[in-house]
Amino acid sequence: MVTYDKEKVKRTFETEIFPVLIEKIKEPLKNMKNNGYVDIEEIRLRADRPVMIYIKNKGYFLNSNGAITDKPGIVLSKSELEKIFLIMCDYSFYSMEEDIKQGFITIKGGHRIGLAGRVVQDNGKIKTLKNIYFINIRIAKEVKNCALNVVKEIFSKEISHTLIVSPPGCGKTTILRDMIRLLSNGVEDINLVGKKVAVVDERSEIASCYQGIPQRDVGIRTDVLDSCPKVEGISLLLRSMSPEIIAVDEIGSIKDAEAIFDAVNAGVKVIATAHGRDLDEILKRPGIKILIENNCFETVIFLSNKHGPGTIENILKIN
Amino acid sequence: MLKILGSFLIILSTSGMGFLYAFGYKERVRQLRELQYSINALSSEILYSSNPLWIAFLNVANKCSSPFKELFLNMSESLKQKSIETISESFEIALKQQRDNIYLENEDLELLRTFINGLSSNDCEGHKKNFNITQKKLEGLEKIAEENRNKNERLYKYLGVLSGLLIVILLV
Repeated sequence: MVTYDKEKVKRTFETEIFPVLIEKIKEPLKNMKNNGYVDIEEIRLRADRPVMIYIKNKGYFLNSNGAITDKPGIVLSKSELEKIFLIMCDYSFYSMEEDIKQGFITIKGGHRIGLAGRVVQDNGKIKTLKNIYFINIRIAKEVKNCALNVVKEIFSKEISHTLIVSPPGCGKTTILRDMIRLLSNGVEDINLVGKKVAVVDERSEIASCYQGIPQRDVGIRTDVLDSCPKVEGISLLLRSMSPEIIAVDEIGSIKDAEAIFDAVNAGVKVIATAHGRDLDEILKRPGIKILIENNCFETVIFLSNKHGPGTIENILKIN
Repeated sequence: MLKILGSFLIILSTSGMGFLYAFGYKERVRQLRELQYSINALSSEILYSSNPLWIAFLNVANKCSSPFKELFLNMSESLKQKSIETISESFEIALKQQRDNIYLENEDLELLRTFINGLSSNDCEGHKKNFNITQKKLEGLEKIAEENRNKNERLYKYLGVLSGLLIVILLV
């Protein structure tokens, strides 16, 4: 079960989440009973549809007086959604162009905003996203020491190549971030000396860099390559930063697999995450199948949502 | 004695007015040039560094001189605070504060407004076009301002002094 510092989350909301929202939903959120907003995991906004908030993976409608019910409450119009999106982008769509193409942006504090709308194509590729009328605000929460058990599990004399697997929203990135922090700082209890960790943070989600500075604690021996494509990033870090551990989020494609294969065989430990429920499911994904069949990963950890995000479901050792 | 002092004051004030008018012509040219420089700096901030507007404005403000320094600083601050709804709104607020120091004509301001509006464009192509067209138009305006200055700067200075003299002569 994951717990987090409520005061800290409250500050997070006040300084990072509320400023990007308009009064119409800011006020009801602030009025929630006992600052109930600290438990929110997602805020979902859709044009002409009721605002929804998700607490412990369950959806509620937000009412204008701050009550959360099963009946639809506040509805946002198209222009209100456009306004919110403009503010989220710091009034600068162009600086988010690459991110918008991938369907998300990262705001200050490392919160990820998922986007959907109408895609503008160019030769079968996504050129940009317009009419963005579906917005999902995912609140990033820092949970220190939540990965302590995992780190103990993957460390004996040496750190093993590790893959963390879970469906979306089960705390994968949170666990990865805390692993990075622990490995980078070192853990005295188990005689783990801090390692040089390099992070390829393609979606600015792990270190949550804002203008290049990590907004979250990723440890003292960690270098972050922010918003860099994984494949290029891994080879760049191998060449330039002499890391002992490379950490990446959400691998899947064959190209990702090739890059990780290179790193594994270059004497660097790799820690990665992937979407999936169990071994059968991830073996259906070509990139991960190659990696597992070639014994690139020594430990595979499955997470679930059973007892809150970050529940360790199963740990698989591959020799 | 009193007469001499009075006439002196009259000439001083009318010349002052003349010089102030003339200064306006000179300052408009300077500010149009400064504006071209800052918009150039802004274009590299946006197109090359891809900085969000509040950082772009802040960096440009550190490079250019008054009154645009204050104008851009003000806009940067309001965008950073997310206290406004559109970029144009932040411009209008900043402009209001600096209005007395800005010696631009209405057509210059209109161009600036269109330019600021264009900053909300979605992609780099749109921005390139916006920068190009604004720079071209600014060059045109600068030429006109320069001509006006050549024509009028001296005229107003002389006019000020001479009208002062005329009043004095008539009165005496």
